Amino acid sequence: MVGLFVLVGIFAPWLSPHDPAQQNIGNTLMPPFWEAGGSMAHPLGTASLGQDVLSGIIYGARVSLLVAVCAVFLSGAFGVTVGLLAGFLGGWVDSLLMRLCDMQLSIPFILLAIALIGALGPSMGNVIFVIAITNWVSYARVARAETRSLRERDFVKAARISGTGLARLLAVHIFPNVLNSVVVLATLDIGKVIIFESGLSFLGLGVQPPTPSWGAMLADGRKYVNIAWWLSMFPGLAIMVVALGVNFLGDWVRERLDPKFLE
Amino acid sequence: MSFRLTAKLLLRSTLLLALLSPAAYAVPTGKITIAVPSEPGTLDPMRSNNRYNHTFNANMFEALFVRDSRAELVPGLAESVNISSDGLTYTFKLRRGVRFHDGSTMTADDVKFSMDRATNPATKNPMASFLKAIERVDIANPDTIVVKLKERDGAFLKKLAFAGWVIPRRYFESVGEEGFARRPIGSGPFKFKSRSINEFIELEANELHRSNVPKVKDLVYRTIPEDAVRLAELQTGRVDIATEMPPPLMERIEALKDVKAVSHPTGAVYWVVFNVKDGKDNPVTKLKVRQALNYGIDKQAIIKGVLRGQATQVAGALVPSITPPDPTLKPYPYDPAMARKLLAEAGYPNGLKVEMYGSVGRYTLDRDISLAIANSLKGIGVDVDLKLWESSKWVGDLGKKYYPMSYQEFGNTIFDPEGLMIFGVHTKAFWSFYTNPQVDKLIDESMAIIDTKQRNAHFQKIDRLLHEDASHIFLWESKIVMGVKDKLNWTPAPGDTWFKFWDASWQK
Amino acid sequence: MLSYLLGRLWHALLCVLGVSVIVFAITNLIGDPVNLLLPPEVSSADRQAYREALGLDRDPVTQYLIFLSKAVQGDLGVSYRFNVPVLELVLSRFPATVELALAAIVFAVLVGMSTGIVSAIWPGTLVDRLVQGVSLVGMAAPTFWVGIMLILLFSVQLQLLPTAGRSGWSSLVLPAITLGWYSTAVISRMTRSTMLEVLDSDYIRMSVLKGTPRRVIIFKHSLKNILTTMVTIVSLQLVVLLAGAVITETIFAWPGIGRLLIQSAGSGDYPVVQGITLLCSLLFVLIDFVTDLLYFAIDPRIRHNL
Repeated sequence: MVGLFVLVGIFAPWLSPHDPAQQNIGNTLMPPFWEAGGSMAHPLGTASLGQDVLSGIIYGARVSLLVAVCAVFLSGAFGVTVGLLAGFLGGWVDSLLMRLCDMQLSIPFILLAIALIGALGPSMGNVIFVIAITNWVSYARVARAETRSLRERDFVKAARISGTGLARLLAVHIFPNVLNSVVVLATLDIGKVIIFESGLSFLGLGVQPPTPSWGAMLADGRKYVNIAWWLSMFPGLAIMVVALGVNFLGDWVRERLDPKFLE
Repeated sequence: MSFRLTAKLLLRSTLLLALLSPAAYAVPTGKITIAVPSEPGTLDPMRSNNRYNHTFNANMFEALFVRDSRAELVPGLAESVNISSDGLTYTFKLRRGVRFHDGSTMTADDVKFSMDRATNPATKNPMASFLKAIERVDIANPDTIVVKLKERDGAFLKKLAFAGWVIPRRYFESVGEEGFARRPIGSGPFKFKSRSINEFIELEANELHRSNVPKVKDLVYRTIPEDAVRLAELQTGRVDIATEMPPPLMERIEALKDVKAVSHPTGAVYWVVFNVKDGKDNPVTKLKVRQALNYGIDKQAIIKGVLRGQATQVAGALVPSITPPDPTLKPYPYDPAMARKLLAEAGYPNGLKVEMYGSVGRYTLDRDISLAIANSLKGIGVDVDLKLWESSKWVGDLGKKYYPMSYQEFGNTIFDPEGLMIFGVHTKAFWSFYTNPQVDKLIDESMAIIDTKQRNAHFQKIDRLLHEDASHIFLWESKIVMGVKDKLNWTPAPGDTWFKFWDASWQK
Repeated sequence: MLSYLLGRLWHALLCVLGVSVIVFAITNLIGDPVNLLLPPEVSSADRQAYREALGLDRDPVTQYLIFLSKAVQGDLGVSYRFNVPVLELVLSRFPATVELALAAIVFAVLVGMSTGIVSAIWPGTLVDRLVQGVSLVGMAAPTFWVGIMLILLFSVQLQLLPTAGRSGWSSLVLPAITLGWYSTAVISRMTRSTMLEVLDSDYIRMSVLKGTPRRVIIFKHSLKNILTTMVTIVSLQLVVLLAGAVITETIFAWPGIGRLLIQSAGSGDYPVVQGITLLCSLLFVLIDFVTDLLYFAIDPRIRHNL
């Protein structure tokens, strides 16, 4: 399932019957082909400017894929670094970094998103940035916990005594062992991020048209939900199916890498 | 006096009073619930910072001159006015016996106090610019207020009807500004009952009103931002009026059992504003480019396909539902060939690239319309770099950042073309970026004209100039779609979006 | 133990302070609210006067210090839009959100825990698969989609429940379900997995061997053990809930803090934005604190470790 999602995202331009941004204002809000007024030219119907819904969904996969992967990667990278440093160095560094985490958690994500996107303007890059900024804390916590327990292990102690530099220590000895839990977290996170992105689009803060995004399609569709249910149903289904698939993937990964579930 | 004598006297005077008092109004009954997408901030009429304030101002307060429920300008708190021959002195004869909602009687002192407060910079009244012609307000005698103007202002009475609200001085001074915001008191047909911010505002009929006691007792405005939910509430009968519905929903509303769909001209005009002022060498500073862009958009197709017919194309700056435009002035038709020709003449035979800034969520279907406009222009070789920004960012940057083209609305305020000219066309306007010394001069001159027919003719002249100079891309006057219960007798006047409810009633 | 608590308190205060700085910085970043607060008819000169009257022309540091000094006295300023004190405004909207959040949590815990337990008791059966499937779907469905679908189904089609606004118990149902949906799924899964672990433990096996009736095993022994985990999950979910509340409140026209926040941010009413954020962070810190106390109460091991 996830494979399908990724494939669709990558091969979107070949698969999609229309350019998703192509307008057709003579044919707005057409229903899917199985209802009266629909046609096979637009099998899942059209949106408020006549854009083809199916194409929107196909291209939207790209956006969701890109945003999810980049955001998770960025937040993971940042969070893990913070966690490694905090867990290993301890003392005031740990204190400071943990305070940072708590502060981050106390600020409602929505507010941060509104403010940052308001200041920087909505674009894919900024959306990724905002999600990464609000999402790194759980990685930090997991990494920190793991690092702290690893710190006391013999092989680490041995490396320290032999004078290995901090960076090398972290990168070579600690990080690979932390990686397992982080990967579990990351795969589960992808689903969450896809939903975050759609939430941002819902509030008008996400990726802007003409670039199609599932969240934006949902947000648009909600005005017309009484007369054009297909605008909300299909993107919503797409989000659900992909998030489901990614969660399954996450579970599978977890079972392979981590027999005892940590959280 | 003896008891029997007193009783007889009492009886006789009561009978006399009963015979002499005017025909009693019918006791107001019933309730109207109206679902709106947003609400005003403070209800203080001199701190009205939001277009939703105006319906409350119109229902709860009165000015020396007011608009009645047909949006006609009529005497309000003044019985009559005498304008001096030089047009600088307005002498208002005040009405007697006007009662505020707290029972107190209006005096000339209240009028002067209110006008002074409205024009005092310390008040921070967003509508103060409408009253800027006022030099001083004096009480000549308890029944007469004299307003002296700095300069002639042909639309002064109209401006009073929009921004000259009268509030009770004693009450205001005793509760202060915050207290007044919590419980406003005026003299209008409805009085304030209660408010829950973000939830509802309740008004009730003012039975002390001299002439416009409402037929309905309660008026409840419910704030419901989601369009689909407003429709659902209308459908389930929990609201009686649902406003600002997206045009594609019109059919659905009409199909509802006991509801009728109403299409209401708003008096608001939509343009794509060119920034000619700061343009330097941007293509839009060239006349032919602007004209080409006017020819190059299929406005009728957008009105039909996106707005489902809920708009009337305009030729210039005169809004059809408010001021009759010159019938010989036709709107720019869709003519791609002409557009390309003009572009070539202007030096862009292979088309050109231009930026356009549109808001999202500020105006009805603003995003879709901006996209449709950009798409239409593609057909004449103009590549529009469309920047769609969330409403608050778009507004925040307006006037600060350079927007070569922007999709904007200019709403109706005083039912007079001067409003649009001053705020949308004049060089000095804050949200307008057009500049033309000849037009500025004509607008300034219009201030001095008091006679309505002359004013209209004068503005038609300005309109033609704007049209020929393609000052903006002239799009349309919009209509809003509302769902109203069949049994509710209520029809707002065209161009009037400050909905007045004192004549609304339920059919039996 | 007192020193531990005091330490946590100090930590909490620093946190709130840090948040106030960040929020202030952010609202300054968004820029000038004057254009948002005033209609198009106001001239440039008047806008500048307005800016000065609001104290926005001074440098950010001064503004922050003024804000802070007033805040500690309980004065969070006056709303630019509504002209009423921020504290009063925010507190008046608070009960609605609390009501919604509590209802959502109650729903989530009741439904989540019961389905989780049921699922754990009969692992591998149809019931278990069904519960797992639905909870997975629940975690994947976006809040606003759920909300709108629910409105369409229950309110419009079936006419069973009111659509929008806050008007008594029946109007709380749909919003609470919408908000609590995701948490229900999470709690269900967590309960199931933790329960399975506990059921598998030696302690429980001993009880089975001893012949303790099944009901006692489930309700008395296992539940106590999973309580710590549950407390963690619930407090984490409360945080999630506040974020989701903004969306739910917008859809259902629920007059709470979430809607006020997004509305104020969009209309330049920054004192309200700052006020809400400050109060929210105070609240989170409080929840954190209470969670810690609950750990003490439930798990003797933590007490001893101190």
